[in-house]
Amino acid sequence: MDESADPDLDLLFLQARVTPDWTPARAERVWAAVMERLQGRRRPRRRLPSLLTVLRLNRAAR
Amino acid sequence: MVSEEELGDLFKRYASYVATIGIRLLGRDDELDDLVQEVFIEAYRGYHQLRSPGAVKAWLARITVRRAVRRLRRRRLRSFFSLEALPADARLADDGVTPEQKAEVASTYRMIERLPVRQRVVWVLKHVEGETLDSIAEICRVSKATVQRRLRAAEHALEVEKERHGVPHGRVS
Repeated sequence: MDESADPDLDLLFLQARVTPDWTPARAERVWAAVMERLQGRRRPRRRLPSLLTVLRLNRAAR
Repeated sequence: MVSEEELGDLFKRYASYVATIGIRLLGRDDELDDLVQEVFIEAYRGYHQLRSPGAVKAWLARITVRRAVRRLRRRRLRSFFSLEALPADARLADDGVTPEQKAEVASTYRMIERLPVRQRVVWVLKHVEGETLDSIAEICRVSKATVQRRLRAAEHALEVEKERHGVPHGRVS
């Protein structure tokens, strides 16, 4: 296949330069969200007692 | 695993590159921030899989394409059930271009919205991103023959769309 099968299209997109409105403020906001998600993941989880521990505690309470 | 500081450096260097590929694949801006977040979170978790630090740009491009494909599939599913309408005229082109060019870009994106996701991705990487067939094969992790087949199918579907809308051959709007 020809590498540039539709030169009209390639030229259009080259001229139109499809680019995001990626401002420093936006980058900062997205970076803060990335960090929040990563730190959220690493927050220590509250450990639930094992079934055996629950049974032992129940027995002791009786 | 990469440290947060190293991830910050990667973000500073490549976030705008990831955002550019992202908007070209997604065709609209409203999901872009979430996509960029997902890419860098996956990069953080999967950094150990990166064999050569020199290949980081291509690796981020692969993650971006994979994540964008997921989003496009979800979007197709939502639009199939009519839960999501396409924005009438997403802002896709630079302010420096003519209104006609902007309209052509928007019209082309409306047409590619109807393509199967895999065809759409190779088409955008080729015509919008300007990637070579070899590079698209590498980014999508498929053979060059598969890229060519998907590209031909996309181009055929777009021709049919253009004819359906009475657009002359060789023009996109």
